[in-house]
Amino acid sequence: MQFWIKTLMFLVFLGIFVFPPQVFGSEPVQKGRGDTSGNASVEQGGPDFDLGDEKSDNLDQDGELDREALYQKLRKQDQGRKKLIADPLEPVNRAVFKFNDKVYVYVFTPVSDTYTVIVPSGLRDKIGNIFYNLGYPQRFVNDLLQFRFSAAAKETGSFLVNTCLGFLGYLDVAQHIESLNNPSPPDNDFGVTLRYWGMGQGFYIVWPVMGPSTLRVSTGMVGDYFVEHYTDPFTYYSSWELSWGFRMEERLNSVPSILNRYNKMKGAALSPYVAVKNGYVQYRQNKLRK
Amino acid sequence: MFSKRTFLLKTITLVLGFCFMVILSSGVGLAKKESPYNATQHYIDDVMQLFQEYEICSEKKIGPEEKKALRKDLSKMAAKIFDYDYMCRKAVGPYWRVFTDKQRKQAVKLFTELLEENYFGKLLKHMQEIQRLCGENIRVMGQEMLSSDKAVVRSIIVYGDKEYPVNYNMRKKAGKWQIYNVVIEGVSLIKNYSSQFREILGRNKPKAFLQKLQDKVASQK
Repeated sequence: MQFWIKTLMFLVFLGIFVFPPQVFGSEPVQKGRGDTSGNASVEQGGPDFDLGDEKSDNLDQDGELDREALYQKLRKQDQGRKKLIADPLEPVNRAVFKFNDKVYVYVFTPVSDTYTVIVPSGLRDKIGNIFYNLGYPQRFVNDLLQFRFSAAAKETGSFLVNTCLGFLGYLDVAQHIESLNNPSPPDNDFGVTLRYWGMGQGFYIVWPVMGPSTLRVSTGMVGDYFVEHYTDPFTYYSSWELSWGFRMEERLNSVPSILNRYNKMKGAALSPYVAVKNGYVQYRQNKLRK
Repeated sequence: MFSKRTFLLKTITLVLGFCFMVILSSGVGLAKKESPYNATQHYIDDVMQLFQEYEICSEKKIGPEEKKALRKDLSKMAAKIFDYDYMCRKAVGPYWRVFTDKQRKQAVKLFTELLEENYFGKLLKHMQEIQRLCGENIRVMGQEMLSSDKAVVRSIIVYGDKEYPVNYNMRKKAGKWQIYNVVIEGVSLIKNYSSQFREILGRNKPKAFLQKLQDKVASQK
């Protein structure tokens, strides 16, 4: 009997575990530690912004623009342009994207609605702060792997201050300490470390339930999982049930904001699959600039 | 002798003071007129003023009639500072050359409606989201000139317990600074639309594309 309970919990856990907070970049810039530069804002030209040269268009004998020929020409040129990310698995990805959409609408939305009734937004933010604080080992290890010693020291300082004085991170006390957040240490993960070591972003992948990812981010998540697992205090001091419950709450707490973003993006998009792919890759690329 | 000197000193002080005032006032006047930073700040101030007029920040319940009027006012304000025409051009990209004048006008109109519906229409449906923006929750941080007629204005939006960097790409058009792109946490709105539009236009001709855009706008109303 106990075996079945464990199996069931494992399956539920899997579902929520693989719905990580970074799906749509739900990790916001922490108060007082924000990157105010937002480097990506500077328009970078490139093929996405080219309007082309209207004067070079061929006119037919009457001086009229031959739109059909021009359209075919532009289409050919556009197909040859460099894409933001390769997507060789597109047919599979699109199918998984459709499946995920159903899961978000029929499973996660009711769960999220119930959760938001029980836990109001102010408290959700505070709970989010605690989990962000406890995610310290992951950021610390990745700072070290990228030789960002100053960032690692700041992370350590913030972690100690918030844990001791801010009730495990419920209050972000460190944001008021200038030396700990100016400039702010980046929200580091193993995907960023792999980039630092020279790995390319690879191709685009849509995982079931979890959503958009790249080959590099997916590889990085395995590394981060081990850091998280071996630094989880519950692994050593208490039962697995508590540890899983804790992780589930972490995922659950981030679901409302992720869903909110997903729905906004879907609502405003003419082609949701392309919009989410482009938005996710832009977000990840911006993270690397910090 | 003494009084003559005092007179001279007074005159010099007066003249200098006058010159200083002229320089200062013209400087302030110029800055007010021309800086992209000020254009953005004014827009945000105007929107906040509007919120006050409608008593949104005092958590008053707003009826459907008032909501309609508020949306109209918001659209009017946005139309002054957002260069929808240029935004649409950029999003469509090279294919813009294939569009006829009529199609171009229709594309701009539909694209404007799509943006307005998603950014004002949805916001008004969830009033608590607007209320979270009350107070000093949008801070314009600074500007960076890219050229004499292009600039980036950086701002921070405080939403709940978190801060989000939001940047505006601006361009000078007929002596006025206007926004043509919004970048939230490094994600560019126009680049995002561009990727979608170009994917659709790679498979469909402008006419079919416009039909899709029209269907999308209609489905939201």
